[in-house]
Amino acid sequence: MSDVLARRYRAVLRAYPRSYRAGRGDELLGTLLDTASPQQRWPSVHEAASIVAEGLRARLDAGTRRPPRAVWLDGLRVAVVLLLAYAHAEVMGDVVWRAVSARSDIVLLLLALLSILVVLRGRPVAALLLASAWLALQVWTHTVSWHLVTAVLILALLAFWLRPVWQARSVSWLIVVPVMIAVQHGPWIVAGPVYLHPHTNVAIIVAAVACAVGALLDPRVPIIAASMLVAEILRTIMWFASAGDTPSSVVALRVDLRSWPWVLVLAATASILVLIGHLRMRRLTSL
Amino acid sequence: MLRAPSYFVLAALLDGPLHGYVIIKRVDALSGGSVRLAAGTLYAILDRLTDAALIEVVNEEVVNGRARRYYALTPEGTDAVQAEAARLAAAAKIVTNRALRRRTVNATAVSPA
Repeated sequence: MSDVLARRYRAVLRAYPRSYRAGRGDELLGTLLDTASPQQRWPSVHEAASIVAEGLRARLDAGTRRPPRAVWLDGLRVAVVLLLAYAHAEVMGDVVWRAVSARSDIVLLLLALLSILVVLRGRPVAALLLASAWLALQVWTHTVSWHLVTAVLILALLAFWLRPVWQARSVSWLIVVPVMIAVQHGPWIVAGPVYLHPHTNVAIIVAAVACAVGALLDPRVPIIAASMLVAEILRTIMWFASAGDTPSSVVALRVDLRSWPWVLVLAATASILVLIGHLRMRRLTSL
Repeated sequence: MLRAPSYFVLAALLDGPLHGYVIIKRVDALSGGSVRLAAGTLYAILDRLTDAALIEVVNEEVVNGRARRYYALTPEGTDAVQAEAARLAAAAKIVTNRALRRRTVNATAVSPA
């Protein structure tokens, strides 16, 4: 009976966001039932796959209804938010494991959260200032996060050259902050005495592959993944060393290319991801 | 440039407004079975074409308690699909019309000494 089929198709249609379903849901359901045979009781695989893919794209606001440049800039924006959240999680880790809260740590955490918030509210210049202040403070205390450096570089690119016009994003995006903390420190806490470094190389490759798959749905995902890989490359080759613990100790910035094969793999993966993102974006935004 | 599914959706609407299911059937027929649209894909295409102002909703009725919308070409949509058809026809002629191909090629050929 078509009622059973209608119920089942309605369940699949939940892939679409509520606002879309309110406006187009009935129309879509009508078309689905029209294309179904009279005795059909289960959604066809072809139709269900198409609904899920397009529904998820609509949820991600995957930019298929915006010009490519806007999608690129949005991808970079999300990348900045994730990079800043990752750097924030690193600071959080330092604070927690050292079990001593220096005043500079509190300032760092505040600067971090503020800069993430400002990016979400759509102000790249203000975010650049805050993130730069955070980085300056890190240099002063001799622990530089290369994820933060990458975020500052991207923000500088956006503020001075690309100049996007961003709409304010929902503050609920701040959820990435606890998520990043869980991602970074979860393996430590779960594994206990077994040493599981959160920067494990296998996890990076797996994540890169997952992002290539994610490119099927959302062209911003590969761009975001490439930005994270750039941070990882910087972390591998750049060394920020200090000769002592006081702010006035000599600091040095070194480039260490001993693990160049790994860097090459990361760079190649990042380039491929950017290419995949760009090609998918062109395809999804074309008529 | 139009991708094949969009081209056939626009072509399907050349003879008057249609709704979702009929568009899918007509696109299948017009493309000789090479473009088979699932409902999700169709509506994504309709959204893109509406954003580009090539089609618009012209009528809405209630069938079986559900909304059914009819889509039609805008003047820009008619122009776009006809321009694409002309482009495709010119590209096809290069293959099917030998004399035309020779004329075009000879203008660029390097003749042997």
